[in-house]
Amino acid sequence: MSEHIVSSYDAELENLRRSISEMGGIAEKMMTDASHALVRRDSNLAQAVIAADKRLDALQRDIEERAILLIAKRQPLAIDLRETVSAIRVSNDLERIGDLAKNVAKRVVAIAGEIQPQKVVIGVQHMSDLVQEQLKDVLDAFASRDVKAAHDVWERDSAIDALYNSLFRELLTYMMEDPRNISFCTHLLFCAKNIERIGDHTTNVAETIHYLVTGQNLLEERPKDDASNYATVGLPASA
Amino acid sequence: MDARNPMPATIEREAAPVTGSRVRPGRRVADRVLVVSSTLATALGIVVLGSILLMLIVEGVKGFSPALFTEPTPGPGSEGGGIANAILGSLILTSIGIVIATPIGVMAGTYLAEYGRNSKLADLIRFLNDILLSAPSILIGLFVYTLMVRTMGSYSGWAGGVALAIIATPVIVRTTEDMLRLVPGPLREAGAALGAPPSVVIKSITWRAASAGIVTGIILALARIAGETAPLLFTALNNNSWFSPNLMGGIPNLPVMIYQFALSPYPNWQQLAWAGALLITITILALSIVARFVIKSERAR
Amino acid sequence: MNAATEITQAQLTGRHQADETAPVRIAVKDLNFYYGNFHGLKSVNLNFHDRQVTALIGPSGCGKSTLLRTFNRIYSLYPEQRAEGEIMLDGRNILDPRIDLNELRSKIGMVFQKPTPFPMSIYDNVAFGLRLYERLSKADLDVRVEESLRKAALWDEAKDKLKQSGMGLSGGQQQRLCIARTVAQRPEVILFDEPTSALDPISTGRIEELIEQLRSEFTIVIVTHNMQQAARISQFTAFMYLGELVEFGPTTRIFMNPEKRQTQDYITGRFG
Repeated sequence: MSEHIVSSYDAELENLRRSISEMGGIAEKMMTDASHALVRRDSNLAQAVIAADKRLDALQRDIEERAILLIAKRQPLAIDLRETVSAIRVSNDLERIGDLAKNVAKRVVAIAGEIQPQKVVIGVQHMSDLVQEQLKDVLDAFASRDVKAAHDVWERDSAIDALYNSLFRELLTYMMEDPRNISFCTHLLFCAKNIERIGDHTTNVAETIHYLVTGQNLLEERPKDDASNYATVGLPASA
Repeated sequence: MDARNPMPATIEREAAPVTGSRVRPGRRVADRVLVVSSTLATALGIVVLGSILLMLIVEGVKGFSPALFTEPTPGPGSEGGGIANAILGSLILTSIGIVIATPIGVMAGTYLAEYGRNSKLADLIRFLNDILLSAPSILIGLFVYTLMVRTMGSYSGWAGGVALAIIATPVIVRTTEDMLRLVPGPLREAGAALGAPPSVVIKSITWRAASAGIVTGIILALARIAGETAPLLFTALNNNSWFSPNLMGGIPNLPVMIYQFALSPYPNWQQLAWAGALLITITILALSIVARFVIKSERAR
Repeated sequence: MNAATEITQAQLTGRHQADETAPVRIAVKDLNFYYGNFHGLKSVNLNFHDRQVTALIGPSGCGKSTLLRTFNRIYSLYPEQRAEGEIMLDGRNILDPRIDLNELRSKIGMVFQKPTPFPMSIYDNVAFGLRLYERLSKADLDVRVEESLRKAALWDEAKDKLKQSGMGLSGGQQQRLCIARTVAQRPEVILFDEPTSALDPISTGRIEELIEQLRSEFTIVIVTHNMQQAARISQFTAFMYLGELVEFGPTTRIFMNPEKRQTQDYITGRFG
């Protein structure tokens, strides 16, 4: 893409892009750290995640302000308009991802002192690894304007949904087996839900990439395998 | 790179001594010389013009009396008298001149500006018109003398009027063309875009839009011919009494009257010449002021 | 539920949506234009749809005004300009030398960049075109003048000073007077040549609103340098460059997602 006649216009768009990638880096790190903190029950790392969210929020507000100012000043059209709108959208998604990671970290602090069956945590960790990869891929796709890679992420998310569904059932089972697990498992369930939500936000970003590059919105329904909305587990007969 | 550039520039600017002048002394002197010399030239012009006007007023006002406007020019050696016949003669001559010149001038100017904009013929006419505009007026007097006075066998007001018309026409042609050219092209296009044929566009739009300018041109032409002497010497001549209603024979008029009376040895004649000169000057001044008002009212619209 | 959603969608966007099924009002076929030896338009092919606003955009000298000026053959005022090709309007070729120019121009109105009120009263300005080709009684003329001034949204401001000079109006009012004058002839097509480039934003807004309303009755072609204006008021947009038509399509597509690189570069301000 050649440069604008007004060079400050280029600079403004470039700054938006840079801020987005900074946000992406922070969100990615928060997500990874939250997951590590969960596995290792590391309260200090969790506190660091909670602290990092401030910067992310500030960046998001900043991007939004600059994008609005750019629209007011330049009245962007075509690719420039899509890029500006995309910056707003993606920064929102990243900010939400940060909030969700922060929430996981808070729960890590809350459950730090409890006895935990490591096996369940491993399940959450596995899901978290998949989502981290998705997040990384979608951020790369955004930076390189790669629709194919974005589409790939968009489709992969159904695996996360399926995984969450099975985790949901598993955690419910644990809780029924031993009521002492309930507090810990509920927190873990929310962590899993948060991570699943992060996955959803990566698909939002993927959709934004599609819009940014092609100028069209993705019209098809995303494949969803999250059956936990309807899942119930029957009480054991003995209870 | 662009971001870095302003830095050295600012430093340089700050480094320049605040008190020191950036202008070479030579330029200041040149500037002063120009201001002073143009002021002097203007002052000189004003002094000359002012003294002419002052002399004219001082000498002319002395001759102003009711008789000036009621009595005809006195015979040689007789006392008193006025210039009533010359005033009326001048009025008639200039009227004839402007009545002939206006339609010809406006039409020709319209042709040049509207129809013949880029044609070779129009270029030729424009060139000839410019020559006519600067032709010595005595030449025009001679021309009309040969054409009319000789063939008709007598000096006449008609010949004088025609001579004045020939002087006025190129002025009107020129101003009409210039004024019509000032009418913005889109205005003509807007007329044509509504389906109006060229004749309607010219009649109802361009002439109207340029009307103040054209009228001003006519008034200026009037002022020009009101003071012409040379062409009348061979055509209307002069006459020291009232003239015949058919305008044949010599017709008294202000310019030639002034010319003859000023050269005469009689003091009362000289006095009348001064008064006539002042009268013409006032008339021309009044016409110029009217012309200015016409232009102003146009601008205000 | 689906049907209900669609209706709302249509209501939301319908007014501005390009109607590609609308009949073609002006069909330009292989149009070439010359200013003396300069080739101003190079085989332009383009259809203008009935009762739609089509915007012509492009850098200065790209030929958009030239194209506009062929539709009423106003260029023929200048002998060195000529057009070749076909412009079909109502089954007749406008460029046919046998066509009656004055009749053509009464069917195709034009509004210029700078307001061009004639040096006469407001009433006479509007009646000017009517008096040319229609024999109307005084009463009928009054009705038509009022109707036209109302359509041009000038009636309320002008009704008390119909006898005053049109030159005394403000720039925006003058431009609306010119629109009223054009509308009075009940043309089929109205051409706008950068109608708001000499006006302040408020007057510009009024003119844009007016064009939006006129669209229900007239086919409108507008040349504009203001991209946002084209995006706001037109249904179709044609982008021209160096005398050629580069891209034509529904306005939303041209401004959100143009197909051609040149179009994108121009509308986003990347032109060299």
